[in-house]
Amino acid sequence: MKTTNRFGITGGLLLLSALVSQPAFAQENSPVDLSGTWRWIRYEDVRESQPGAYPGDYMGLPLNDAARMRADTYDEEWISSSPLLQCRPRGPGYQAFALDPMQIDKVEDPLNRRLVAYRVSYQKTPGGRMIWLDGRPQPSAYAQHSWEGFSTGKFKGDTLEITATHLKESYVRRNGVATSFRATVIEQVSLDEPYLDWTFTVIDPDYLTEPLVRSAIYIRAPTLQVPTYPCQSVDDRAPGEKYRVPHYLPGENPYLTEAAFKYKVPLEGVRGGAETLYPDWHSIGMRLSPPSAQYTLKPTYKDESTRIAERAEVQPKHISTYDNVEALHVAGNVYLIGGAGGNIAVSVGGDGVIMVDSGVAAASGKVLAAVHQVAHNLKPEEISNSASPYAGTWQATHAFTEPVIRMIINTNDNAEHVGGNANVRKSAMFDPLRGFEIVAHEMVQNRMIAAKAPDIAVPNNTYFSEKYTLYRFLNNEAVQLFHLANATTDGDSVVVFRRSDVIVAGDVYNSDIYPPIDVDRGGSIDGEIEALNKLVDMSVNEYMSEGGTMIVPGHGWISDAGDVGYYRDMIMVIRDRIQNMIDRGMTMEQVRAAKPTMDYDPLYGRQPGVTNQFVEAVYRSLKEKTTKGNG
Amino acid sequence: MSHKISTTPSALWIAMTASVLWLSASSSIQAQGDGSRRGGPPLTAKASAPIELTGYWTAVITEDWNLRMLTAPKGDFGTGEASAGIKTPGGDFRPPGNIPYKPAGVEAAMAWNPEKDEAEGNRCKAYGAVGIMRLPTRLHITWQDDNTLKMEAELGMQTRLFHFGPPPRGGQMSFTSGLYIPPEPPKLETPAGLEPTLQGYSVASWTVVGGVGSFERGGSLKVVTTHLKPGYYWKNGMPYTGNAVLTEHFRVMQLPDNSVWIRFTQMVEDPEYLTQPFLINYLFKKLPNESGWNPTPCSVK
Repeated sequence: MKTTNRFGITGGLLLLSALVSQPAFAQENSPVDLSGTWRWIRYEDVRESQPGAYPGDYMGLPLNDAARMRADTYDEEWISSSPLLQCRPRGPGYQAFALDPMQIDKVEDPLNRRLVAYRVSYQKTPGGRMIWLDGRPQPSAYAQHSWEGFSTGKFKGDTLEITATHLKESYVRRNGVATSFRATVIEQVSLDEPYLDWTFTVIDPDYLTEPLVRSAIYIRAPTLQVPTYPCQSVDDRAPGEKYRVPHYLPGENPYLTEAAFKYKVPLEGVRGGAETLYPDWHSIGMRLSPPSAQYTLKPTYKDESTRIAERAEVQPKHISTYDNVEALHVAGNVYLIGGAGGNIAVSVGGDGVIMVDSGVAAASGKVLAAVHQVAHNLKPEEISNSASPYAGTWQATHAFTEPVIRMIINTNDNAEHVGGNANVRKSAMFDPLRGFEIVAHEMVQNRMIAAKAPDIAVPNNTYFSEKYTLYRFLNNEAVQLFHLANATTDGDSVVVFRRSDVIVAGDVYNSDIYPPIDVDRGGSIDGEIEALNKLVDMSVNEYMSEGGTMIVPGHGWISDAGDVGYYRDMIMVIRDRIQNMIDRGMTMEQVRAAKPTMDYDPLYGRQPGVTNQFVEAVYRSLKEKTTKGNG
Repeated sequence: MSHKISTTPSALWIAMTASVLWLSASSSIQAQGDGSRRGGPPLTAKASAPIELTGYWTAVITEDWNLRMLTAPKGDFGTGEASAGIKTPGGDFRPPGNIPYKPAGVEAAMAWNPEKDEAEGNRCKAYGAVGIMRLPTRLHITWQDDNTLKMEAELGMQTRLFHFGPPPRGGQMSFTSGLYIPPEPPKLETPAGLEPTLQGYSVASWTVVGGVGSFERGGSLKVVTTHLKPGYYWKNGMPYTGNAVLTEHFRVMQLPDNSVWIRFTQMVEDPEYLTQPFLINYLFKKLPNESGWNPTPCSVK
């Protein structure tokens, strides 16, 4: 071999290795470095940041009428009186307006130093908001929502573009202008040293008619420390005092003209709407006069958003083929199987599979496949760290073999929850604990027998007490059923997996539809509210109104006590409105025509039949109570 | 036993070629100006634009709505109430509302007299380079020539011209020292002897980023405006002086509904009236065509 070639190869390799170690390679992670501590600069709408916008000030917001009604009936005491919401952090649709210092840290892969994410922390946020830059996919539609949502980012030129989804219900102005849990927030972050320009756009199909684009500025503040925020919620009710939701009945808020009067601008502008954001409105506004005094506005609501429930009613019933059955982890041993009608929860471990509900019959094949997949991919459980005499013994006695289903627990007798009972029992995977094939409250059994359900589908192990604890730990934890009397029916149970800290709520709580209260089957609005109160009382938030106890709804995504709190409060507001209408002598038809749920229909009334059923159930149960009281 | 590694004379050549190719591919992803072209004349500002700003655009007023869409009452600094500011017990001055005014700025704002402006032919004081971007107006942006961007506003029928200078040298990596050499700052020189005008004299430069590796090409336009006549931030007579320097950064974004927006930051430095730079940002949405373009003369109210 020629010496020159050896030198050539060696030299070339040395040069290449020197080049690959150049810092230019690392720069490809991020065209600009956003990390550091930042202080807000705020020279616009200063009143909105401190002390807060006037009630009824919707200037500059492209709201629909549903959003207006929601905000018109908002009472600012609501947040302070709700222990679940007192520590509610801001979402990305508002955060940049807050007078909150900010810290941005790089999160790097320790092996290759590649930038994986930016972590953004504010004083009043639960922790670091992760903005993933590694191209990871969006979570499932059944994944939990959070105040800050799930955020992915991508650099476009010198601008980091962030997309946040899976947001909890939040607000775009601190006077009750709500954003939906379906909202997406798009953010553009650009650096012009020492300033950081943060443009944020809220796209809300439920409450906004077009994207709401706003912006904020931060300045680099290298010596700033972002303070901690140990927010402690307080329940200041007297012993025995019932929880209530402060709110105004439609047309009774006396403060809605305050902003127009004080800013001396026409009320038509203060009420917001997309048309008021554009130059053509200038000449309209110049011809209008501001109110000469404050008065109680009696708004009328009539745009498309007011007809969501009506449109849903006439939609043809969607016939699902259940193609998108999927499983995802909830907590501990518990998984959710979604897309099979009602949600199914499964506890999976060394003892086998405990199913809570079985979905619709037509989806059973896919449900069983999902159960098999979850169980098969499980890792062996850790030995229990407990002083219990039984600790760690169950793993030794129960072999981890092919998945077997040990029992089904039914939370109610709705077809979307019990429809798959027979198919699961007939499947080869079903290897039950004798006598515990299907467990439910006795009213579920009674109603299924009355409905002539086949024996194989009917619960054979029932309880009639307030609480029912299964006779032994299953998958290393206690399993308890609580009867929630007269909620959606007279047979509702919630199932608690104690070690996993998961509650399976059945139809008592649905994250995106009204509860299917059936008065003829023993349901009632007061029972439903009591049930939700119980659910809240049984749950613990991890920090700042989110996380902790996971709640699997009858329909929708994995939730926490904060979500249930919002839902409970919504139902209490509607209960109060309908009670007021009954007190004024209105008939069922008049109540329906008055649309007492109109501002919540974009969130919970998009499926055929649910709004009418809900309004009728609330009316009937309140009317019956009134009649009994008078009798 | 002998191992034959290679008998071709090109091993070093291949390695060197690969190195050079890699080097050119991984050159700095950030450059300022980006207007130079090896072996030819510099690209014009129009040819090197990293973002497309031309077309018709409309203001979308989602912030400071009462101040921008309509004319607020005299003395309303943004809170809805007339106020001359607060003197703290320690003797500090806390300006009222949204503008970081010194007492001199507040005093000048409280002296606003629209009738006087009208009588003196100063109807356009709220339509200067600083104020016009805050008004509910449409913009029409075109290239006046290869190195001058023209921005017309229908409200007040105003025209701003952004003059691009010669492109500065971009940032680059020195592979001998392993150090990054930052981009040369753009030359923001104004011609001598300029008289102040409502729109002042604006010097512009591009910042070009990306276009290498996995990063999309993009960037921003920086505009620095001086030689301004005194004017108003808002139509209710909130003043800036003739010494104010206006610095703007323009960027473009696209939303999922395919709407295209200009987002820009505006910084005013005016030490005579302001305690610190006054920074805000505004948004304009792209229009499909000139429909609705409605040139309207200035008005004092």
